[in-house]
Amino acid sequence: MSTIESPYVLGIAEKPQAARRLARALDEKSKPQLKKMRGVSVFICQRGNKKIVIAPAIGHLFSISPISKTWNYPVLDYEWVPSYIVDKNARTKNFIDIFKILAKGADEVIIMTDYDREGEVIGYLILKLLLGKEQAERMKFSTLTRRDIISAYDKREKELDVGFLNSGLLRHYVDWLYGINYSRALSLSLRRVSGRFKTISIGRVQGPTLGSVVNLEEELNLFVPIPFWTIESEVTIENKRFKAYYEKARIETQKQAIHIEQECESLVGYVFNVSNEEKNMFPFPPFNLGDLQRESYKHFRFSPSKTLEIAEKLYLSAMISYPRTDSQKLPMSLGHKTILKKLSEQIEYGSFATEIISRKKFKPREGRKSDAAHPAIHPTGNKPAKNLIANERKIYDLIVKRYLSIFGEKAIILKKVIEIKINNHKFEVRGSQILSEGWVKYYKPYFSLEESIVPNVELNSKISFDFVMSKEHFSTPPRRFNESTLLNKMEEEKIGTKATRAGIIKTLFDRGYVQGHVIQPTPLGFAVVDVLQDHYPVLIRAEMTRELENIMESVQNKKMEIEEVVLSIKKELKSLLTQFHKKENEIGLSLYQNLQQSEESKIIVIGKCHQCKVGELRIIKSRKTGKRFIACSSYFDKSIKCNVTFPIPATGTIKPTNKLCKHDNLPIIEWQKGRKKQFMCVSPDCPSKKKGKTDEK
Amino acid sequence: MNENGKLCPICKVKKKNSMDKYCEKHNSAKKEMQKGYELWLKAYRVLSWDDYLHKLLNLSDSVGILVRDIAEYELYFKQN
Repeated sequence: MSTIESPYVLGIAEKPQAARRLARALDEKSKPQLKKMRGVSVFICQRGNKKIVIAPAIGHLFSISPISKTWNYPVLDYEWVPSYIVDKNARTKNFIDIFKILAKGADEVIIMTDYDREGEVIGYLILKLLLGKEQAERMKFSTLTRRDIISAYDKREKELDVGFLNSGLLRHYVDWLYGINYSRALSLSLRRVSGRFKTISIGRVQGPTLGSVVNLEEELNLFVPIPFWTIESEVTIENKRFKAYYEKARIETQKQAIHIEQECESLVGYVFNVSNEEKNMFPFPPFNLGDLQRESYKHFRFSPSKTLEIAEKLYLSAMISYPRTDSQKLPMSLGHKTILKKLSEQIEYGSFATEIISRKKFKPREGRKSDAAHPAIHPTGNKPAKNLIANERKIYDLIVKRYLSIFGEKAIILKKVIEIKINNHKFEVRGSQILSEGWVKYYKPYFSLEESIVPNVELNSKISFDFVMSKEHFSTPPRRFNESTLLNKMEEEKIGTKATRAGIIKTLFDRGYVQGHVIQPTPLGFAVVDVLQDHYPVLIRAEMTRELENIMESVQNKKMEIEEVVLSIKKELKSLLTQFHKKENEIGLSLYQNLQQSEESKIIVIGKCHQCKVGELRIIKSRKTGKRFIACSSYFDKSIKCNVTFPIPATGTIKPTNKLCKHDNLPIIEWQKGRKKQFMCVSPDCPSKKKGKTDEK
Repeated sequence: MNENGKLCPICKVKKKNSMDKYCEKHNSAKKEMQKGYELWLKAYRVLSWDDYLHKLLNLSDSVGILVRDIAEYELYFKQN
């Protein structure tokens, strides 16, 4: 393999696509020379009298690994090793090799990774472990546009940001220490008692997140609906019907509700007040990652991790700014006029962008949250180089329209309220009229205003009610989390960071602790939380992890030393794990019992499998989708691998009947939802279903 | 007390205290139902415990699964 003639400046990029963008921007002719080294694209560019060689990593090239190879705990000593050693699927070897080769001819090094904690750690570990250096220059940028890259190169820092770096390293150490020790302790305690080995993993952020899901499920299991009543009514004004709202949204007793109904029997009221009020609506703040993930879930049902993945692709294509940000700020120094001018060249946004630029003054309306490293997510204005795939197009459109909307003028709505009395019972007819759409027109279809124009009425005029009646209701249980609301909960509880939250939720699914689009804990999730609740409640509460986030913040702000913090965490862990060791049998037994109980209670056997004649037909739930179906238990037996499955209704209770259908000899199940009860053959093609009845043997 | 007496009559899980009627989880559900019954009584003025249980069972999906267990057990399976 040919090497590159030295001397040169070595640039370390975080990903291959970023390396290509950086090289194109930094090369004076925008045509960097491409050199393939061990299959990795390395770029050589010329800038002034300097030759810059830009080589990519592929995210993290190193992982933490225990020094001792025995499978025990506590594990307190660790080292960084190439990630392909820890994870056989990690394709990082060639990337590590090229940095070792390039290190020889480099007289200067510039870290060009993303500017955040992880980027700092990726760059630093390559610098220290492959190049043998402690410090290097640092480029900081928020977009991969030519303008930003050149400016970051010209203004590059002389050194890495130590606070940022240390807080990044600390996160890795702390997460690894908690994860490996508690996962080993739980798995070993189960093996000691049952002889059964099952990896039971739990992490510092994973624990409280799973705890929230299980706590909510327990609350739902105990939920008792409480009755209440509302007063429903409608009026007709100028031949149009309008809903009238009773003064109290909720009536607590049946007697009171009937009494109100009786007192309003005349159905004739009179207007005692009319009010008109102009309400201003200002644009929503610019997107930070959490807001983007929520809005994307709301409109497209994309999971937070999927949204982040798409946003990262758009960032690497230089279409949007760096997405892992908490900021809702968009300083004028970002060059909004240039961005808007570029957007005006895109057909979809042209007219709105032009309209904004044509105003004398335009300033973005910012939110309160800020981030030291990056501004809020915004488009760069760059046209998509190739046709975007549909999902990328959706996220891009959402980001551009949100960006345009923050330059919009306030929306003005006229709220009109007609207050009506019948026998001293007050009702309100509410109307709204859009006086000025303002920013809302830029953000359509993601937000729109509804109009309901109420006619003018005179004070003391009579109003006829079409009806006034009471309606019985029952309080409803809180909603289960979906990925978006779970993300909200994590933000509220201040657990995890913008960059890690989506990944933690994904881990809960991957570990089999939760399932479904509407998130429910699995028996395993329940079992783990039950045991921790009894023995280590601290691991499923948010306080500990929140405190550690504060400590990391202090390390970032250089108010605490990383060595000091790691030492005290190790000390604390050691004492907690010593206590765990003493209670290992008790914990193992409790885990085993909980697991057994939950597994047994969840297995519903419908009958013998007609095909393989060995397995049982059971109701199982897909881990990925959470949907249930009937499958043969011999699927997992390699010698049989029976793949018989039957669909079943998604909701309602299903019970076996021990009866067979006379048409196809397949089991009959009992399905019940509310008061509806039905017996049905498991086969969707059963002739009995066509007849609309089920004949059992 | 025989072996059966130590188990929850609904889920067959060992009771925490043999004097308890149900296991820990079903006991919590019973407590919630009793609290709920007071509020239902206040809302309707007249309501028997059995009518309360019937009404709960008719509300289907919004009733907690453990609450439902108790209502079904007390209405249809309990001897005394």
